[in-house]
Amino acid sequence: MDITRREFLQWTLVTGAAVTLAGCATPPHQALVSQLELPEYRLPGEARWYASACQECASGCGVSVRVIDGRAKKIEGIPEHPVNHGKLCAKGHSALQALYHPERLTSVTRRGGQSSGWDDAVKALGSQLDAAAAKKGSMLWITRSLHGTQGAVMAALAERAGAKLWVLEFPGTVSQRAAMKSLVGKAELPYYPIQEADYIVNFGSDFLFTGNSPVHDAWAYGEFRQGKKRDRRGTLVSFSPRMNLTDSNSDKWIPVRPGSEGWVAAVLASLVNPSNRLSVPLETVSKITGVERDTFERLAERLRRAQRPLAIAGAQNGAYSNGVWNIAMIQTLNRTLSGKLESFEPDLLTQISGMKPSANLFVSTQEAIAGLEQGKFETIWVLDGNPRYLLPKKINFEALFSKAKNKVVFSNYVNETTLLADWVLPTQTWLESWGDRLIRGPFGEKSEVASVYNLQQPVVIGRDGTMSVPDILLMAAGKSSLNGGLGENLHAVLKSHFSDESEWENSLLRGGAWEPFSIEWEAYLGKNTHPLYPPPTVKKEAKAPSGINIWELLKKSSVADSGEAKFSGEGKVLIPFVSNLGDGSLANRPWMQELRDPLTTTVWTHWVELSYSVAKELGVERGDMVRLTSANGTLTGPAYPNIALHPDAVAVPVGQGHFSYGMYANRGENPLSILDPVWQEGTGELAWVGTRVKVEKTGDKGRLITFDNRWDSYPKEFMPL
Amino acid sequence: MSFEQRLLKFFRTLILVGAIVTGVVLWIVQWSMTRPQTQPIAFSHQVHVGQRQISCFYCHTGAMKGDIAGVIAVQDCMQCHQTVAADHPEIQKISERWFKTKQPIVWAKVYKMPKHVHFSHRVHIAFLSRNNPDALADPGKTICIKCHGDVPNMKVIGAPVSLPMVLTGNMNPNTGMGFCVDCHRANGGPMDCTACHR
Repeated sequence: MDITRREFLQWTLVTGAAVTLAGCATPPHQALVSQLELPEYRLPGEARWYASACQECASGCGVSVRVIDGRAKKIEGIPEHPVNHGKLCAKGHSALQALYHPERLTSVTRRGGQSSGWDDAVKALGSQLDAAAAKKGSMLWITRSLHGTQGAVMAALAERAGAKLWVLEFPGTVSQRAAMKSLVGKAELPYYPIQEADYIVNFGSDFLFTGNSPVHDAWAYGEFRQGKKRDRRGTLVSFSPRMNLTDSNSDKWIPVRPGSEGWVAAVLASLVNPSNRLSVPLETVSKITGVERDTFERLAERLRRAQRPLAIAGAQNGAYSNGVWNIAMIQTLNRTLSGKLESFEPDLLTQISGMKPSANLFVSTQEAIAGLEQGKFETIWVLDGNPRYLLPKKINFEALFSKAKNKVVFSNYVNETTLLADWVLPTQTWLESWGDRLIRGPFGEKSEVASVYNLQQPVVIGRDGTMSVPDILLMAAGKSSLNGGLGENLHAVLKSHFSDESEWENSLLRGGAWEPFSIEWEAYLGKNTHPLYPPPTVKKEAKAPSGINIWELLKKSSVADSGEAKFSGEGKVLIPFVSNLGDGSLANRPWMQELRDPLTTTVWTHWVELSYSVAKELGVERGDMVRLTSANGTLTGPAYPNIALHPDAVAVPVGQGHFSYGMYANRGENPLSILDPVWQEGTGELAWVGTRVKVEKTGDKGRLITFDNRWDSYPKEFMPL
Repeated sequence: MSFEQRLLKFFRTLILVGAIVTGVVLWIVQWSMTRPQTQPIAFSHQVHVGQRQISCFYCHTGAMKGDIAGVIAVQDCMQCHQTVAADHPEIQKISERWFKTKQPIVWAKVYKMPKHVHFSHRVHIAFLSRNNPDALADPGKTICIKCHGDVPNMKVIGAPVSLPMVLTGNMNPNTGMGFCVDCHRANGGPMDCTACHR
């Protein structure tokens, strides 16, 4: 076919136009694909979830740990658990960093640098037990609170060896228990049904952050404020010398003089019910507390009108020399308001060891230090804790500790106390070892008392060269003459709680056993077909075992008539408060160091909180270095002028100031070290808030790493100062 | 009536009928190109956005971050639907894909952009929320509606929700170039060709 030039150009034009137009058309079908899983969510390996029990504090939260290829990756709460309702606090989450800490101890160390193995260590411990049993009262065990079967094993062994138990904790729970013992005859921790209350007066308890059971209380607080079954939002009023996280969530915060919280409660109790006679006139109490008479009267009127009022005391109230009185007064107010006092307790499970603790098993801090001064203790085992960090320098723990012939420290890491030991035994975290916990309290469906049994299982293989404390003790007992019927290891002891294998397996699957507890999650379990979340084969668990409360051994303390808090020295009252680092044991976890303090947003350091008026008087601005001087030393730190602090107080967080706790912790200063040993009336424990300090400006500028400047942005009417 | 008059009448009728026929044909073509697509799962924006008030960004996670809005994975659907309405037959279709067949969902795309147009969701959302950052909390009512129509009331995405839309067949009106240019002109957007065609 012949094509002319003209035809060629015509066809080219037509074809080009057609192609161009076709390109402009909208394609009729395009796909939008929902991928099965997003690539960024994919993790190599298969995830398995193991139920266990958090042992970071005494609350008893159930946890579920995600393990991939034998490594623990993430810790979460068990959604159906009656204590924590699926939640978990930062401390529990950070337990992974304790497990995989680069500075963990992995071999038995002996003073003098001799290499030594577990065989030698266990033999030495066995012979020390035998020697102690031959000379009763010559052995001292320093530990934190004992719980569950492992606690019962320890207490039983201590009983057999005639060892004294010194429970050393900051801020500790002894004052709360002593107050409960004097009021209701039971040395248990007070339980506050926050979820049921409609009007709460809080006396400085930081129950949302550092309370006895912060995760449970935070859940309860959510119910209190916006629970579905409520007709209106609950009201929270706080009295405290320093505003803490819970106080900052309250509807009104009223500053009181340090140590006078009990007076506020006493006045309210007398105004609500005049049959509670107040020994001093109201004006005098106003002077003691710094709270105006009107405030008391208005609050009492609100409390009278409230349907379910509640008063809450916390460890901070018990940290004064009059701590027991303070808490007893607050609980008396509670009794006036609602007529009953509830309590909960992590019990000891003593069925296996069959032990009945004798009355002189415990020693208070005051008795322990007196014993150490007299050189009564030949052997000291530090099972848990860091007494050299916690005790004031004035007590001179180094000298007292070195008087003992045998000094054994059980620890995950090198800390201040391990430096003084003859033997340092590397221990395991709760993610690698067996254990359990029994929480008895009003955790039932209708808030009736129920027992919650948590079973703690190893979710990963333990670090080479480490052993769990109860297993070390049981092995040592095996080498001595004391092991009749205590069992070989804790796993065997725990398993013997269960009569049949299926109950044991269900408890492992579910993280324990508790009374039938009905929430919507139960329905979810029935429907769940996810292969990684197999539903428990039975919903109703076996009844949890029963236990005993070892704290019943506390001597009944009479509550003094006078509620005057004693402070030694001159100047401002030093309040060492709990922040993210707990009692300092969390200072070597970077996650906890970089977690902002909830109120000041400070990270990685300590600070000195001064009230605005004091800061103005001294001419101190944020970040200026100030020096606190007590009779026993000085502390220097960057100032944080705080509008929500009583002018009679200065506050410093506890946790920093380690000199031998690894690369993350060796920073800042420790307010506990400059305290005077002031003793609490009735319990013989240290009154952590009992020292006055002089405040001076050093003239230097320090570094205070904060994230914002929020105090200034608060509405002025919220701050009565 | 003369022949001329009849011829004129015939041509008038022819033009009228021709116009009507052309109109109907064009309407059918328009309708066929823009009618609601058949989706593999009868997902209702009315339920999720209108009633439950779930933010558009919850599923179209890319919208705030980049050019393409995208849609979440089957896994993300199951985050809620393991418990929420797990018995619903349409949800069971998703459960089957997630637990058994392990197949992705291939949705039919409704709002299509020709390939010679460059469009970024992120830039437009940032512009539309510049004076009212709160709008980002509930974008379905304030931001997305400007181009995508009344999504909170659409049982089927792209379906008409008003009579004028039914009559004009203009279900997906706001992706034409005229709409883009009008909006750019009114709001001071870039007007050069290469702003979009590049």
